[in-house]
Amino acid sequence: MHSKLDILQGTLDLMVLRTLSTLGPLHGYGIARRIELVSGDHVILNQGTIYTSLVRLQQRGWIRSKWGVSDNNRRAKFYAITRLGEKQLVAETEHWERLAAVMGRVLSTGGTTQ
Amino acid sequence: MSDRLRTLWSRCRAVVTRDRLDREFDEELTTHLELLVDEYCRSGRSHQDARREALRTLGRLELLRETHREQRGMPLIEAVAQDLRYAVRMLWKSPAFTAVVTLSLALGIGASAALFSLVDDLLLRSLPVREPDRLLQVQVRQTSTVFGITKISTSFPSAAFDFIRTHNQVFSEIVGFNALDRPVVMIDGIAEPARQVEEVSQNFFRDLGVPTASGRTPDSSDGPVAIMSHRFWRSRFEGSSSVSGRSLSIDGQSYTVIGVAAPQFLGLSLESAPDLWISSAGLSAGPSLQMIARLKSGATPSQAQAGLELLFNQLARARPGIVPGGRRDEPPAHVMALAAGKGLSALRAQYERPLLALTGLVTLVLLITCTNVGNLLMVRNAARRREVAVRTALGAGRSRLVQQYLVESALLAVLGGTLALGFARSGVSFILSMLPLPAMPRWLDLPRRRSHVGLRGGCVAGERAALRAGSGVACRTGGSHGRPEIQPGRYLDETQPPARPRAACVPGRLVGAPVDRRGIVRPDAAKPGAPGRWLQSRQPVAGLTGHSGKRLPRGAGRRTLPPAARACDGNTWRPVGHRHPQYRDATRYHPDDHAHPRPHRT
Repeated sequence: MHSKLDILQGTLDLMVLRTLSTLGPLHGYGIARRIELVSGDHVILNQGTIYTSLVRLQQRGWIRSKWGVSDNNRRAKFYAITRLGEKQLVAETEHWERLAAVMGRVLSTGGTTQ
Repeated sequence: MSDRLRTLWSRCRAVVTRDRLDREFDEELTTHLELLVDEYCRSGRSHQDARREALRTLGRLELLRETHREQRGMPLIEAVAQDLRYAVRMLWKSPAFTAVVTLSLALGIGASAALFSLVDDLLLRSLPVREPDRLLQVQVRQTSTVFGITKISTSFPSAAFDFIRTHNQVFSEIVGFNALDRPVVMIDGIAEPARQVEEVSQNFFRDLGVPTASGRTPDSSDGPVAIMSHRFWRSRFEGSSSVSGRSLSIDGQSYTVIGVAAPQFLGLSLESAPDLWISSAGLSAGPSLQMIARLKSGATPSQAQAGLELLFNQLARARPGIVPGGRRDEPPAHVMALAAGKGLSALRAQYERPLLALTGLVTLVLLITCTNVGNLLMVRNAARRREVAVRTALGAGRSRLVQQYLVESALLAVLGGTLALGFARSGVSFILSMLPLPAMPRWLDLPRRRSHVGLRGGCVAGERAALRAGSGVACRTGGSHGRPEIQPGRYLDETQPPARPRAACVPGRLVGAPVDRRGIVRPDAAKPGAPGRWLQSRQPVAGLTGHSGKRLPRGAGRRTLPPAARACDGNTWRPVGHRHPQYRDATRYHPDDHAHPRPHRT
């Protein structure tokens, strides 16, 4: 078995939204580190790919960006979730939970019908 | 706004602000990298190790930039724009190659376009009426038994028209029309320059299904009414909305304007374009009417022909002399019903086969041109192997290289096509000049053909002067208060008293004002006070004279023209050249041009 998990297509966006919703405005580095920390270093994340996800989310209007100053006094772009993003997060989370529950049920029963 | 629209808008903005976004992303990556280096340094690694590890964690920077650019912008459009810039540079570097390919394409496309314009107008395009495919023209052919000469009659007395219309079984509608012979049109008591007028049956517009631009079409309750052509309405009344209800007089009879025909409808004949169609309850119809009939659904042209033959025979027996073939001393008449959906044209039958043959040839030439250009491009690409190798080494994929070549080819095609437009225009003129046209075909007058207009420098004196040009006559009148005063029919010759100075005529036609390709002066561009010039007719019409009252010698050429300027109507008229002999017949000029002539009657 793999010791670390590849990220499924589309799940990175959901992770980013969740992170921004929980922690508020963050820069790219902060988002990437947070995801790695929360996953307990189980997620393989090429940190640069976080920016593709950020662009995608920004294009859809789910997050917005603003230049600011980081903790160590460096200029950085901070991303924050929008109201539309919050709604999307709720919908996506619900969808993901249903999917995970179904997958869990299917896998726990070995795929047999009762 | 949907996600897709938002994304599209964002991508469009990113294309415009590409450089700024690139800079911002670089800054973001730098910050990210430095934060990672700081983190790894805090964990006890050397700065060099920390930086190496940070770069590994972040990913390949160039790849990230490329991915980011693709995600935020419109990669295909940006790539095409990039290829286009590159193609322009490459073509600029090889001017000889570019010139040869562009000229080859321009000649090939231009010749094809020129010929296809004619074929389209003459052979392919249907009349803008309802169900044009079911329209037939009624003709009677008589072949002389002695000389073997075939006489074709297309016009029939209105009594014959009424009889056929009432008794026929195969046509759903029959309409009639008749071009008036040099009608005198007066609007607000002022006579117009020569206008083309057709008298039509009251059902003409309704049954043909001719759309109107404004107003309505005649119905059975109408008295004498007139419909204007769209072009006449625009040129004479400047598209005024109050034209409906106006009264005008044609050959002394008063008509009320009730509508304007749709711009695409220019009449049924390709060789004329009426300004006005008139109709009245009791169709006087002049001497005769041309008949256009629409087949009933399910009926065939041969059935129509048989039915018509029967009706014509009945009519000939009942009223001998009213239709051809009725008298014993006449050759037998055969009734024909010919397709009229593409308009009536005497030229079509004459030029159909040569035009089609020529089109086939020109298409072959275009194919050869394309093959040659393709070969040239292949040779050139073979010489660009190194460049391709470098681009491939830099990471350009096969599709990217193919796209680059396609963009280059498209650019060459656009250049060639643009130049071909000019060639096509000249080509149409050239082809027409080669054809011994008996009359000025209508297709040359189509609004979209106005691009043939060329400018000849200078201006004709007199603000909005009413200019006449053509068969050796040019008349110009100047009204009071700077307004034009058009006096048709006023020709100065020996009989015209010189005490009427407003109408001034010189032999030849006026030039100097902007003229279209047929040499028609456009009076709207005339500047007041500028000296006028005139052209001598190469073949002066007998009986025409100059304002001086002296007839110019027949065949007077440029060299024989009097070198001295002539004073006329307060202006100076200077001979400058010859009129093309093709335009010697006044009736060939389109009446839409204010400067068109009126045939001179001696």
